[in-house]
Amino acid sequence: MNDGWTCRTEMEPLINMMVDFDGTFEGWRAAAGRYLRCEIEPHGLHWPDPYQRCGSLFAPLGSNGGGSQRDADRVDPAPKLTNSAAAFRPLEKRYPPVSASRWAGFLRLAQRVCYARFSERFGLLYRVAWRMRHGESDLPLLLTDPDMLAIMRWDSSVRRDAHKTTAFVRFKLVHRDRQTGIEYFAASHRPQHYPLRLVGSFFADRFASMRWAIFTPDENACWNGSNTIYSRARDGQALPHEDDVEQLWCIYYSHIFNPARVNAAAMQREMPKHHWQTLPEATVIPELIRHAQQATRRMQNHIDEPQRRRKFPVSDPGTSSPTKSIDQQSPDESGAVRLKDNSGREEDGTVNE
Amino acid sequence: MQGHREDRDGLVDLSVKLAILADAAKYDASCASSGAKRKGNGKLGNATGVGICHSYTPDGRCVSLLKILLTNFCIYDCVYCVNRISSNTRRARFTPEEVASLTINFYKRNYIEGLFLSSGIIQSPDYTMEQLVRCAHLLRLEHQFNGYIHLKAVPGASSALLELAGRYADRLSANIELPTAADLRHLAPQKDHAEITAAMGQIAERIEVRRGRASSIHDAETTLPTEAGETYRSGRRAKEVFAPAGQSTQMIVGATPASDMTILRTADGLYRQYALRRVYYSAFSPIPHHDSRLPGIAPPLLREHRLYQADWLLRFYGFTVAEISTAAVNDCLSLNMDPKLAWALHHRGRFPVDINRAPRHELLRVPGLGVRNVDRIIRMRRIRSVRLEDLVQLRVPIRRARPFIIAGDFHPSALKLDQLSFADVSRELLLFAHLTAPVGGVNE
Repeated sequence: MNDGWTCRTEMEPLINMMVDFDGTFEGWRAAAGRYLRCEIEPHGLHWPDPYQRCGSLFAPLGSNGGGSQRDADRVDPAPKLTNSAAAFRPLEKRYPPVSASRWAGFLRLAQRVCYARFSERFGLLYRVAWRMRHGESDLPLLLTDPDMLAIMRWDSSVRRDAHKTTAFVRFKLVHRDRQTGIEYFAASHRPQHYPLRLVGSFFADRFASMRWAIFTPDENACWNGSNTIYSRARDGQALPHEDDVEQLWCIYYSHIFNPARVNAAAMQREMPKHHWQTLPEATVIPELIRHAQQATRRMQNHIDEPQRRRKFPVSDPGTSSPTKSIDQQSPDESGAVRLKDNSGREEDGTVNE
Repeated sequence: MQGHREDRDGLVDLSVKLAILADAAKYDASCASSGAKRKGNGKLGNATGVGICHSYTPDGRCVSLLKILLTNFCIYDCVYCVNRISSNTRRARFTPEEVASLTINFYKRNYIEGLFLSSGIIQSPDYTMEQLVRCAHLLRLEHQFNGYIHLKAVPGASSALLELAGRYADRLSANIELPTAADLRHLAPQKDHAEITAAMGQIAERIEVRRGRASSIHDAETTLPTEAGETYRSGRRAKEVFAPAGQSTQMIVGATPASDMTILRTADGLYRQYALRRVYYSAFSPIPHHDSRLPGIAPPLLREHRLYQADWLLRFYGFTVAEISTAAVNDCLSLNMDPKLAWALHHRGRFPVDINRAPRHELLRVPGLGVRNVDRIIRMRRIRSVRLEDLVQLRVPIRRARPFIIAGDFHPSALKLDQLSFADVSRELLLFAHLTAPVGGVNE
């Protein structure tokens, strides 16, 4: 903690200003840099949330601009100071400079946290940047500091949400141009945070030859073949229509599922229900689960009676508790051990140990 | 599928085939699409390195790839397999064009990361492998598809075909099928353990050569078919890549009486010898119309889970099979507790471990500490002492880890202080209790 914190009550009436920025990471970064250079303490700044429609005091989020660089340039160049003399308080002692790699690491975090659905995010990030510059340059390593803890939590939440966006966006074919052969796709997606700007480059790289648009309740992204363009969501955005290939996809989904291993809890942990309305395959889930029990029983009925009674070698004969056969095991019991399906895990990074 | 709107029959036909051939592929556990990193080619597809699970089926398993068989016709008679020649299951066969267009159509809608293509053995291993390679060839060269492809390597296929497969595919896998050669002889008499490992060896060698680690390969330059000279990745010579995501294999667990330690020893051997990325363990599922040589019921899924945990210990936690087996009962992993905890309880002398001083490999042995948290602790302790509450914040399962660690503010044996009654002292006092205080006052 530094002096900026202890004299909080004293400073409060002196500075209280609304930051004018576009709500993107680049915008936050440019504004925060300017305020830091001016030594403006975190509690004197009010960072508005650009995605909250009511009470917003500034221009809509980087509309139709395209490049985020241009958005950053639009930030008001000079901080608006209500009391400039107080804002330029000199530092009482010189603090060691923060290394470039430490800043870079923090900015990588900040880039994701800027798109969290958490109205205090910009202020929190500025506060951490401020503390780093005022003697706590190692702050990003102190993962259990309350501010860092909050940042890490939001970061992992946004990261997960961005990853789920790359996973759960489902394009529908809207139009195929007969002359050029170019196909136009559209998707509707309901993310938890505001991840579009984090994943835009992923979609642009992967689906470069297509033209696509992703609609979310807050923001839209659109690829025109050379640029990704972001815009604010409008009311009453229509969902794209049905796509024939969805039928085939549902068939595939139903048949790759092994009813003998039904574990709906594990599925919902990874694929929460609020995504279901934009996933074509979700329409068949209830039916699959209902039939799973019956299907397993059907399969086992092919097994001869005497064999079913014969107990298969128990894998741990040393323990006193007899291993239950599938017949005895209720679905609740098998769910209760919370099986993690390692076979479905990805090798690197994406899974918590 | 371009013309499916005009041709309803074609669509129906395709749906039926898809249903049959997805059904037949579901016993393959792998659906990983990680390990290959490739920028987009400006057309369709890239590989991000981490892989994405695009959906989850109600069994909790991830759907990352279009996992299908080219055909479920098969000349082999492996008793554990639904597709064996003697089974009366429905049969179907895709054309390579159908496989390619299904993959492209699913990929464009962001349903999948790519294709995982396997097949029953038709006519001969070479013929089957050639059909699989043809699908990959169509995708890479005609559709300029740059997404993920996993091809099954058919043991016994020629090395020229394997070479081609490795150029198109990101990952190759030859299934070891069962834990021991004897098991394979018993349940899959037409398959040959040596032939399977030979295929693995060939793949491993080629991967190593392309990464520049081995010094020579005898036939890489000489036996290539001319077709292989074509390039498909923006200006890069195809020769440079071979199965960039490595190879994996699958083993069926519980179809034979092989013990967990036998299984792990086999897996460990494969990891060492062929540098496999993954060994998948697939709990045997009872299949329709099954054979009397098979057990009637599936092993508990928990057994498969324990094997995966032990496998993780081998690959990321520096354990050896011999160490894991010290905690095994009758050569099997305990179903009641995870193998790391079981090992720790058998080696209590190595604990408690001081999380502020112990080297990384010792921290990895602490029950409840995963690789990621161990690395976080190491980063944090450079700055200040790590305390128990820090572990709570890192979401370490504290009740499991606590008895095994010393933290900045915590020592497990100090826990006992609260339980100690200091009985000797009290009893001594008791002798003189009648002199000093009423008896009730010093009563324990």
